[in-house]
Amino acid sequence: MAGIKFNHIKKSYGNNALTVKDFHLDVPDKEFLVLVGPSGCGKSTTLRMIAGLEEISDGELFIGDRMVNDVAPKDRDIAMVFQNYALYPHMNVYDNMAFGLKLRKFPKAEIDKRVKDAAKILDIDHLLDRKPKALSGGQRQRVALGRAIVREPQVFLMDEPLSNLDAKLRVQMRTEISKLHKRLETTIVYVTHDQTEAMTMGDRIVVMYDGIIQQVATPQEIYNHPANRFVAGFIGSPAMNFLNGTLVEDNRSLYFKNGSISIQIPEGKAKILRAQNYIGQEVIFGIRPEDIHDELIFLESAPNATFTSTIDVAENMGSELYLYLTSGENSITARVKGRSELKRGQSVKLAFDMNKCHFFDAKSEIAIR
Amino acid sequence: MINDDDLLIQQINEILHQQGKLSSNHNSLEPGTYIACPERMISFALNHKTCLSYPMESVSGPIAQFISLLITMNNKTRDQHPNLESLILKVLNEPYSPGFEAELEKLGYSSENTYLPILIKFDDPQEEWRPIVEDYFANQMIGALMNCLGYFLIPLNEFSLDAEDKRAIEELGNGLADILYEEGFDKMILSLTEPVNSIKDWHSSFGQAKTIIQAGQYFHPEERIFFSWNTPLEMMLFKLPQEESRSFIRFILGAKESDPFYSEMYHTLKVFLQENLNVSETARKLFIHRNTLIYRLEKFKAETGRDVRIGHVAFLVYLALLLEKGLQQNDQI
Repeated sequence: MAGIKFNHIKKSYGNNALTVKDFHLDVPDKEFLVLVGPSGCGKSTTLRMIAGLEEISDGELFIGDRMVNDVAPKDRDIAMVFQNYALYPHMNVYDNMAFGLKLRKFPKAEIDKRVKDAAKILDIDHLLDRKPKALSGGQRQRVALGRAIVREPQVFLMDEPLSNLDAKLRVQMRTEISKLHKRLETTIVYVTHDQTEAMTMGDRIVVMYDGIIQQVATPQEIYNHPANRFVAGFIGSPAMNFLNGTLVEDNRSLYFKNGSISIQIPEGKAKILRAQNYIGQEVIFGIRPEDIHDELIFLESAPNATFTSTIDVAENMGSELYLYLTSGENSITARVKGRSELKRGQSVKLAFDMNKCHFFDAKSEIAIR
Repeated sequence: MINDDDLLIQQINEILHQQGKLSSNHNSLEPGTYIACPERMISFALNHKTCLSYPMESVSGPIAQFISLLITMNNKTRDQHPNLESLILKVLNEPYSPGFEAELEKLGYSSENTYLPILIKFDDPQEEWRPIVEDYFANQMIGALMNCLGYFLIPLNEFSLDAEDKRAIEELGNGLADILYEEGFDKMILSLTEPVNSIKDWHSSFGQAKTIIQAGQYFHPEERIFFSWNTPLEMMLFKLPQEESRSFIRFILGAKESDPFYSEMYHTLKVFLQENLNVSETARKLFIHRNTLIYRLEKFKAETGRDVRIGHVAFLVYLALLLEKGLQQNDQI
């Protein structure tokens, strides 16, 4: 088992712009680290640099105490699992799992022990004689995981391993991988574009965009205190609402104004905005859909944080209702209790929970804290 | 077909004893020894009387002797048969001649079958990756993997997938790449073209697959797998002489070359074109604010005088940026 240390890692192809820009991070031993971000953000390139499948243009990479920049992929003591869960189609499950060890000339008895142990962990010991064609998608993915487990590597690298599974299986395998991490007590670096996977699986999440680490933190910290507008918009579904507007001081209270919307900012947040000279400036106001309420108690307790809008679409999800609203030039999404009997075309009064709102600098888009 | 390692070892021992080939240092192989040389190679060689080209450095002792024996046996049979490998190389590298078909058919290559040619370029003189590729495709391969002037051809016979099913072929290629990555082999480039139905098309298909690898590496060094249906533009632009490329870039982008902003614009414009020049959709796909995208497009217009919100301008600029991307990589080489 080992941690990973990224020391100002950079990656570029030829003279082209950097694909990964100054990736600097310590991953402690046994951590489940998730790299998340949109397509092309550099997350897979980063993973492939750990694996040795991409050369590092600049910086140092350590696995444990060993600098591995110039170590061949097969000598890095890592195991990888990919989204295609590729298996040798003509070999049975046992041989598929044993193949890597055979290539490395492990003794037959050791191979047998490791394959059977891994199969038991993954609950596929009854499938060892089957060929991949006779397995379901989930079972094949387990075999792919088994191929990695038998190597007993220092670090597991997983590149979108659940992307090819259907939604139900994905949820199930998500839990399985988390359990596996606890059982194996090893370091896992997991790449995904799916923020739900990131939030539910990672001890820590690295949100990447444009080759740059936007934020590294626990899922809760990222959700509650996003570092910038990108992180705020990327994590959370439905996504956070953003309104551009101006901060105006009026009778010792601070207001955020955007067209017909005028909302009073709580004193705690107002103090920070004043201290950083944002009065009279344009800022971005962010609020998550679940922090917009239609209950009377909220409307009465926060009369200066309400707005009226027309419902464009109401999506009933059972336990909750997604309201897609238009207010002036703004599109706003609210997630209210499922028992609300709101319908499309109806005018509705809603209140922002201002203690949960966020402000971002309009130019840099960095969170104002 | 021999399936069991122990049985194979027993047979190897018997043959070696019969031939008197076991040296005093190697009495026999112990059952349970893993045979580095895949049994399929051996049985294939025995059944098809073809030449083995397994890397000898990776095997030693009786197995090496056994393989040497097979090669000797097969070299003898090659005098009786036309040289299969050289014939295939000829078919791949020379324009079609009716004689090829007849000769290949004699050797079991039916012109009725559909073949999926997969080309792989590997920067690994030891060829340690061979058993992985051979085991991955196993019985689907027509004969052995062939080294065609630095490009290894994996010809798949009786390809069971629908010839039109490109997604399935993409999965096959990505699967092979993943398997190789898993085993730590990184220095390879793969190209997959559409399946061919006739031996007549082998030459052009092989040529196309080679060009895809060259063009793919030239324009997209960050990628390792290329499919013919995803790279038509790259294949066309690759043939353009460098001076003409530079002149086109200067005409479209102006005098300024090698601007890091171009790299960002290339990705932006690629998505912008894919989204039919729709600003909101492009911004959503790129995870940037709509205003950021508009700022980027305006900045580009101010620097080059080209307004990419106009369809044909966007396409010309995309071509110029793709050529510029290739030249940047080429300059490095």
